Amino acid sequence: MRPSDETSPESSSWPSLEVHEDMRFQNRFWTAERIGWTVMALLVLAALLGLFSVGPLSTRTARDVAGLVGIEYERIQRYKAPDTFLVTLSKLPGPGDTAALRVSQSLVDAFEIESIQPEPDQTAIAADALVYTFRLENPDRPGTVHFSIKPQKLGPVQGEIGLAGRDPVRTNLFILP
Amino acid sequence: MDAVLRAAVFYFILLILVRISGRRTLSQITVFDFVLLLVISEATQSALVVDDDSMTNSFLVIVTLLIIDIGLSLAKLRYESLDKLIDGVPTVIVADGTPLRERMQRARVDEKDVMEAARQLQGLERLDQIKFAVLEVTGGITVVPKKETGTRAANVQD
Repeated sequence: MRPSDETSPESSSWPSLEVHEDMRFQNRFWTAERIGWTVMALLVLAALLGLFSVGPLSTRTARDVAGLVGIEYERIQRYKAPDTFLVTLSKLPGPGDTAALRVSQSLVDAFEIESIQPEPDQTAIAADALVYTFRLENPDRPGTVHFSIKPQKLGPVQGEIGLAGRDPVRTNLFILP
Repeated sequence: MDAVLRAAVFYFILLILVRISGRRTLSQITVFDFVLLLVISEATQSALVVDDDSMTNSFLVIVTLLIIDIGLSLAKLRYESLDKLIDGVPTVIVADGTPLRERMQRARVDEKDVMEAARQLQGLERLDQIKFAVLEVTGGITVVPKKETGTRAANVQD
């Protein structure tokens, strides 16, 4: 900034022209403008990386300790934006042709479950979870369940998904406004 | 309640974004700028009303936006610093026929823009016929020509 600009809040530089110039403010604002552009560019970059959902920083796959259940989900969600939870059952621990999937109450509260594909055979209410029971054609290769969800709350959400009676997969989500 | 909050948040986010985009962005509206404006309004609209298409909701959103706008216009009259912050200040970019290059560059204006304004507003032909050119807060350029005699003399020379 030049000193002449610093000392001329009004149009003293051009006595004949009655213009309410303020070069001190203007220069500061131009600088702020450039900073603003940088911030905007960084926001676009962050969005491409997935900081605002869908992207390398957001998409997560997690498995339980025993390797029975794997889930794929977006760690960062947006309020009321539809998304899918993919739950893959690798193999069943015990005998029988059903799989009981426990979804913790915190997830049920935070998300409206719009549909489950395939539809569960049974839904049971537990103390702090919902238990969905699926019938399996081949218990050795169970397959994948799609939960179509819609976030209904804001902020951080901690939840658990797992086979009943086994260690669940922990999920850490954040729902943006 | 959320309709009012959402509208207020959007008002200030848009105000900041439009302000830091600079005067040049939305002042000289080209056809594409116009299209861009429509797309921006479309993107804003869906987030402003979310799932609620009721008349009450849109009514509340509109009233909130307008009352903030009125409130700010009153506050701008009272506090000059707020006025400068929101509307900006005019900037002299040509003085006595001399273009002030550094200012023009920072304001993203070039001589072509100045001459366009000079032709349009004053029917001037050359830069040296301009006494002052000012980039106004609205984003347009206004031009004060040198005295009539000077112009005539220059014409005769041609």
